[in-house]
Amino acid sequence: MRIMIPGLFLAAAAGCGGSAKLTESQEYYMGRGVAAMAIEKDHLWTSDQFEEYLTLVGLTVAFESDRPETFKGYTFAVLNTDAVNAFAGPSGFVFVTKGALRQMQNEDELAGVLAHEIAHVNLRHPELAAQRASDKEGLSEYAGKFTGLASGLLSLAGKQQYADLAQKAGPVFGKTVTGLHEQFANGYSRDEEFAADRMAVEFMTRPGVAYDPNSFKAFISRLPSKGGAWGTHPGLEGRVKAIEEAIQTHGIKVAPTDPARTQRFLAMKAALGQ
Amino acid sequence: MNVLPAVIGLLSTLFAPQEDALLGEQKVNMKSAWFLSAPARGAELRKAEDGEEVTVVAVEGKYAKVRIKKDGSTAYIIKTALVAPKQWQRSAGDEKEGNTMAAQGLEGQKGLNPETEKEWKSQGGPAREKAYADLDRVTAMPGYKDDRRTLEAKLREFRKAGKLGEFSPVQ
Repeated sequence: MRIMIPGLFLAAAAGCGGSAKLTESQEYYMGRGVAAMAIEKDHLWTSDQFEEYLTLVGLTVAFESDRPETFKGYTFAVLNTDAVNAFAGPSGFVFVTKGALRQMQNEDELAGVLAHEIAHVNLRHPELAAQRASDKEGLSEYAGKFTGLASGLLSLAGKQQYADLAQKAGPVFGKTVTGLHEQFANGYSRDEEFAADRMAVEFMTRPGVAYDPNSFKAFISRLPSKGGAWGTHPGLEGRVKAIEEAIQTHGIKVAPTDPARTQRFLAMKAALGQ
Repeated sequence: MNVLPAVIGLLSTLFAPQEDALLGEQKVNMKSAWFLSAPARGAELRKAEDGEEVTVVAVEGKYAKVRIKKDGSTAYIIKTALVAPKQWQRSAGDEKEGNTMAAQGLEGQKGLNPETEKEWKSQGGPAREKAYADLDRVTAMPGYKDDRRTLEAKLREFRKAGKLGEFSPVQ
């Protein structure tokens, strides 16, 4: 399902607060739900060494972004699937698949993909989708009841009532995160993808980062136009052009991909196997 | 009557930088935020506590210069970690039993809280339990992630080896 967000709503939800905005902790628990759903479906590919490497690449970019911190910080992990995909859930849970990693040729390509997902987090695309999904699935139905409990006496009866509500909210929560997981895995709207691409170029070329954005463009260019979730992202040709324009707009002086980076990436990639 | 000054005044109010709104009393609204000696890569002074009270005295880019109420010291913190005191909501997970219900009531306005997670987890059986256990493991990776000083040192070493950031040949 594609989602379209009017700019004004985006700005309002992202920066101006308001009663409808999810709190950082609400985003975090929604993000955990989506992340757990992704892990339950595809399982993690685990390697302490690779996870450390992935986190260092991700945080190099994230710490220089406009949203360097989330409620409990960014998490970067590898999903054990051949599908070529990467996505970000609410509160900075960023996943990249083994299939996508196998398609990459150097660290700068990986940094570009992570920068794209970090850009979604900066633009609060996952949170906006989460907020819409929670409203749609009826989690807000429990809002008044939970709030009412908060203002009431903390009696044993109240605790029981809360437990009952949690039991009822559980399946709705599950339905919401399931829907969100599908949505994230299938990509955002065309406008949101373009916005994340442009921001990714900016983040990965900031002075504190200095990855080569041409590598990100090269990775996108190599993706098959059909097949794989990134293949279903809107208009890959258009996105390549938009990335090119972003590179030119920023007037970036780019250092080509350093061999030392490529070497350490390939050493890590070897651990993925075929 | 010349209305131009009034219009300009109104426009300046409407489009005043958001920094102004941040000045004054705020609360930390994150579990993963640090007080730094300088913006960006300043030395870590200490981890900020969720709900800690500060007064913003200036805004420098992404960072706010704050006076920490607890000890009167001055530090920098990422400005997205701050919210107005009335908007701050406690985290249920940290509250003692006596306050837990109130905290969950506030936090659970959309059903997004530890109790709902627990309930949903239990409905998914062993597969979901394992997924959450795996998530908890990877969230804590690498082991030094919460030690800001070590993390910064590792990131610096990583940038140096890869000729990134301040070690890039192109500045």
